[in-house]
Amino acid sequence: MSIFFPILMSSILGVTGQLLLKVGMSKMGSVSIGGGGSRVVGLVRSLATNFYVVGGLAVFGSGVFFWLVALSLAPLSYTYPFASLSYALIAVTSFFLLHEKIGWLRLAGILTICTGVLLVALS
Amino acid sequence: MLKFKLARLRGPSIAETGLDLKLSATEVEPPSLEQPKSDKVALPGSFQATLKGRLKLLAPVLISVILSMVGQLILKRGMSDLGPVSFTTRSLPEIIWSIATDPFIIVGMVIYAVSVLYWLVGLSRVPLSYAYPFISLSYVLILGASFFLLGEHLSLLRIGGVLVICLGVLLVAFSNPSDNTNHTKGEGVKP
Repeated sequence: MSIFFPILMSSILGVTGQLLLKVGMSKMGSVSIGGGGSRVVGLVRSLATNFYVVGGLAVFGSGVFFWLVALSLAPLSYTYPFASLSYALIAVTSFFLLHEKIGWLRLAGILTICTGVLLVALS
Repeated sequence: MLKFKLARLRGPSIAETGLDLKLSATEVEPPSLEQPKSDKVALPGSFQATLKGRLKLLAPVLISVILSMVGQLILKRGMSDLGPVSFTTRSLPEIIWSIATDPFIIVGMVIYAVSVLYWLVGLSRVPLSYAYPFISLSYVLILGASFFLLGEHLSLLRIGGVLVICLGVLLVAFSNPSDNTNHTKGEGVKP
């Protein structure tokens, strides 16, 4: 099994999980966490019964599993730079699948972050 | 443009603003105040209002990133106390039991769960492509924690990389956060 398989799987599953979470939360509308215990319990209950949120967390969790497999196959210094992949993937998928508007400023920011992550990985 | 320049000057104190946010987050207003046109936020005239609006918008996302880092540090402490996990000396149920009953692990997990909650609250307010880049602030927090808490030596390249990440995060933070998703506005959808 190539080392790329678990790394790519963890990125793809992680990004897919985030997309599902975003769709679920968009369907719920703007929620707030303040305002006492009963409201937090209510929030958790509505999250736990939201198909997209639960599915997103499950997909995200399986992504973590593949990340651990990748860590067991290669040193952290090798797998670390691939973290920047998910920032780019999130930008592409939010644009094409969620139809989010991504301006030049945000695009430049995301590319700058990828550069920074690569620098940290090289250190 | 002036607004943006000012914002960048104020920018490097990300850690400070994160702490300020904790205070403001305890008094998050009920959604009824924010609900009307909350997807068209923070486009006011003065710089102060812009910064304040963005911080309010980003509060759940930033709290989530900070809490997940704190949770990770506590989980690491717990796992270090337990020592390397070995499957040859103990059975799987024994290992799971020792992990699940460790106070550090329990506290770390609870904090981590709360951070997920805040992340979801954040996602309900801003686009994914706006929120996700802020996860990279964990690199900044790791740098701070490894220097101040663990006393590690920091290489110039790593500091440079983290500064570049900060710059990127600031660029994203000051990009237009209005949620332009076509598929749903969430109104009237009961979970």
